[in-house]
Amino acid sequence: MILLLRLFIYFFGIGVVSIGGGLSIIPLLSEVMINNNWMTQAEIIDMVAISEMTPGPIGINMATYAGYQTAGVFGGLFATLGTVAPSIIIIVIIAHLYDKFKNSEYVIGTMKTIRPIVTGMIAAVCVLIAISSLFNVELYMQTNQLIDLFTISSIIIAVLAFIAGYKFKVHPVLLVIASALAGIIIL
Amino acid sequence: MNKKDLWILYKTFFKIGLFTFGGGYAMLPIIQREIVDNLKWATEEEVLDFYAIGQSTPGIIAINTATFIGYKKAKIVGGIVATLGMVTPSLIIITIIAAFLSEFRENIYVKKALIGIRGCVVALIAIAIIRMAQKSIISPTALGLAIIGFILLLIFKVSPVIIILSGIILGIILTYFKRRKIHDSTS
Repeated sequence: MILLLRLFIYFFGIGVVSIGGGLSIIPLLSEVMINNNWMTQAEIIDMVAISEMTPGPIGINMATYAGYQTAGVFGGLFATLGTVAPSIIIIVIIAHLYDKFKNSEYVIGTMKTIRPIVTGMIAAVCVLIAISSLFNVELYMQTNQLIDLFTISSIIIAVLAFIAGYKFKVHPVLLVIASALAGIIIL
Repeated sequence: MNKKDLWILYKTFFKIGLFTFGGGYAMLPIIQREIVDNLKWATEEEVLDFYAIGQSTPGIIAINTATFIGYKKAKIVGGIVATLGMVTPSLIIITIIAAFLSEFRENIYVKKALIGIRGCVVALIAIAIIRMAQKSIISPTALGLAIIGFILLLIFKVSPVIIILSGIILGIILTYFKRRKIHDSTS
């Protein structure tokens, strides 16, 4: 019971300091796990890989995994609840203020300024993800063959998914399932 | 707020958690489809606002956004229910993998499916960006801001938190001058 409480408190702290992307919690998370002898370095590498390979927010996947390794099923549950508790507290306060002031000129003006900036930022992330999943720069460096620069199968899947989603409004969930199956069948 | 709406909230975020691969960005297309189009619980602009705020406040982005949308629908209870829905798939999947599937990481079918999904995620985010741009890039100034956000993140690797906080300050300044101009012209 004390172990579960400790897990909750540690992960509450990890939730507080994680700003902008689940991967930002890795340094603190590994420090906590290793200092308490709850996980080894090798297990942490496993944890990150599995968290990236499975659905769900990466930060939550890591919390569940680390909590499970430490104290079983309830460990995973308490670590996850600890991680989300700060979000719930902070966002409820901000959401309340947003609701109250959303008609103020300053909030409207500020939001109009931020929206295009965020759109541009998401576009930048999209480019970064595209580079890492549609192109194989490492292989190209080795072989110098232009054809090796492109991960053809992923590009085909991306183009087909774009057409299906944008033009034919296919549901994103169906696209994810179809592309997973396509990966299994054609690769 | 009745029990049925809370159940829909839980179910929707369960679905979002289950089909979000690779970080909070990948959840946007499903949120647009389910929350904006189907349920009409938030507008496109609000989702962008929640996302901007969620990215610059402590906590995991996906959880912050879920709490925000849940709060809008059903106050604190809604925020908690949406968050619990979002983390439930992670809890189940990660616990099963940590407990029984030690060779999950090396499984060839999992790897192939993931390559397919990664191509699809690029397409999904691209579609989400087009939708957002239609609502956020509504003036030449907005287009300039989007390009600045894009370059700061992609080329100069400025932290998203700093970009958004600077955007907030800029928005306040712009609103101040706009107000003064209106005030001057009327007096």
